[in-house]
Amino acid sequence: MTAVLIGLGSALPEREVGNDELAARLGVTPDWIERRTGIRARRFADATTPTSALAAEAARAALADADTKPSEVDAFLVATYTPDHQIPATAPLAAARLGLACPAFDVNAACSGFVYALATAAGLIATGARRVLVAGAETASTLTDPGDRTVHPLFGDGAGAVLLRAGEPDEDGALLALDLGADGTGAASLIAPGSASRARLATGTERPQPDPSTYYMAMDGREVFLQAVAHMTASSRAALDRAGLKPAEVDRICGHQANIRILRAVADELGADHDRLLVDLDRTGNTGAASIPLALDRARREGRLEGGHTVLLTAFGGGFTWGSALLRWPGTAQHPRSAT
Amino acid sequence: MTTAARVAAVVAKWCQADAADLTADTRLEDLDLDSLSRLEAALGLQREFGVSIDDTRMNDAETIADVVDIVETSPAKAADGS
Repeated sequence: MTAVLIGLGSALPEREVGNDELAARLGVTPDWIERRTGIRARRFADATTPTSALAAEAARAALADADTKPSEVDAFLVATYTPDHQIPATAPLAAARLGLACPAFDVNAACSGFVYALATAAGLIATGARRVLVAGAETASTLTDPGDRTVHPLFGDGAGAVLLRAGEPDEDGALLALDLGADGTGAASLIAPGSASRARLATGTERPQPDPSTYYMAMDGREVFLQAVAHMTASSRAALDRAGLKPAEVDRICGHQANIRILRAVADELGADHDRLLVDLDRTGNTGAASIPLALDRARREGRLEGGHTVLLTAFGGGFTWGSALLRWPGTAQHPRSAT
Repeated sequence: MTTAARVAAVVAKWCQADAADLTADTRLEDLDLDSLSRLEAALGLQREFGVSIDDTRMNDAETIADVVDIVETSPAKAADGS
């Protein structure tokens, strides 16, 4: 069976943080942030809105979008690199908020997590699951140093979710092709050592003390740009080859929303017009594994996605990891609210 | 169009400059190029000339003439696009 997209939803925390609010503290201008990234604002979650709450809210919207009851879901995946806790995973917590009684687990492939989770869901559907709910959710603002002008303005919090059902490859909504990749030799270029096991080993297991200097995300922006453009382009081409499609046949490109300059460079490398890019980072920043479904939901609201459109998803993140997926956008038959 | 003019056109696109104002002696540090702009320009030059550019050479370039030299001495891109 083929995975077919039948529901989409998203969730953002209430608090919007504009460039002007960050710029003064970071010793830059609002325009400096926007010119380098394309980002004008992002949302920051408060203490009552953990990653699991955002994941649940987006997933609830995706279920409602497809008129599907929680009892009909066979598996629930949350892609995140900012889980509520180390144990348990975020998916069971979000599942409890939704009243789901199905298998629930996290997928961590950093900013590529949503595409990896889609691939995992497609695998579950190929082996018998009928409906799989996939959320990407982050509170990425918790992982950036508020004083780091090269990283802090880039990230925001939010979640997006899709509901997939078992179907046929010729249906609108069908997942047409996937490509995934990873290269751990690039780990140091994008890393948040935090208080995970390696940091605890380093500080001794008797009374582990997280080292605050390693808590936040460190990023080599230049290297990440180079690798992101190269791998998102190559991965997009690999997915297109598997689907027997050419870049010119792609109607919309929904790339991971890290930086408008990466998205434009990937479009240029593929020979695609920039107007085919779906952009959400201007108002949400880099929301990690949430960015692709957030951008899809906005594009749908704004009427930029039509039934039958060939949509390319492509992502790159820490690891390094990357992944691409091609799908045919669902029409009204698969996706009731697309028409409204 | 000469190689130098084509190089100027690509570089100009990434620093919001007028290509006609860029000469062989124009210093890149005098242009409005941030840390990513040189990488963007290198990608643009690769597409324009079908060559594979070493980004560290691009990072070290000081003038438009240096960029022209990089383009003229870079190997042709492999058929698979790498």
